[in-house]
Amino acid sequence: MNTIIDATGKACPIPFMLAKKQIDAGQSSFTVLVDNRAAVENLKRLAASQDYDTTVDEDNSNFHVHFQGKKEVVKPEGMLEASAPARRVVYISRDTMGFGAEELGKNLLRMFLYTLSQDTELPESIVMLNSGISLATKDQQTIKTLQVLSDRGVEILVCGTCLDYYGLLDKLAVGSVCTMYDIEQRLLRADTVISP
Amino acid sequence: MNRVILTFHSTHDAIATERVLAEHAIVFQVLPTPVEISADCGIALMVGVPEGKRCLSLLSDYHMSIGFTAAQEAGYNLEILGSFVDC
Repeated sequence: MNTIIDATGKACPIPFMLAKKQIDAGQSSFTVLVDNRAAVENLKRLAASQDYDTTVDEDNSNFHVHFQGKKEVVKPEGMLEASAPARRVVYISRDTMGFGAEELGKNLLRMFLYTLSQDTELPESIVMLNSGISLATKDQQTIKTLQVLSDRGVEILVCGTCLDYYGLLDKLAVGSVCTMYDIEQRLLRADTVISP
Repeated sequence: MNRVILTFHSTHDAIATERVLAEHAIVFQVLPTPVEISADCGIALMVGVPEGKRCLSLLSDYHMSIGFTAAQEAGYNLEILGSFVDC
């Protein structure tokens, strides 16, 4: 029988945590009931990162997020890990690159992102937090560069707690709002974390 | 899209130019100086062609050594078309 978890009225990380608990317990099919779109987006991201498919049914202002584990894919022998691309995560925790002159540090970071946006090899995700969120909210140059990276398939994640703290939730110009669970997962699963 | 890349002899000139452009509301992008243009200062500024012409007249009062290079942003790559002014 499909397990239904009622997470309506629960604050931000709770629906995520309840779903994660089901996944960790090996539950291949379950439904989480939530009452806001932000929670739906968080659950969808969780599902994608854990190899689950999701379907969402909307009913008045409630959302039923159905999780369905993907079937094990049988890989031919000898083709296991070698062909998997390295998971690279760029972790940006401040609005400058290096310590010292601020105006120089800001330019170095803009230059780093611009170069990255033109590279043939790309990271899987870019995670921004603390003053690093200004790159996705205030700086028109880095917003443009991050948009190019996003268009090229790089996941752009911006810390929701930080957006809230700095009063920039409505200024997010590129990427999606994420929780510390998303950040922890990206960092933990990465083969390489690049912190410019 | 055709672009103009401004290059400088010193980082301080590049940052001073950023301030001038910001004061005149000229939109620019900071980028690392493409190696095929110059081995001088590592900071370059990229602007649109009309803005590049405006920069030429604006910056002439500042007595800085600035290079102007034509470039094209084609897809995700920057193609250098060659320097056309050096002042």
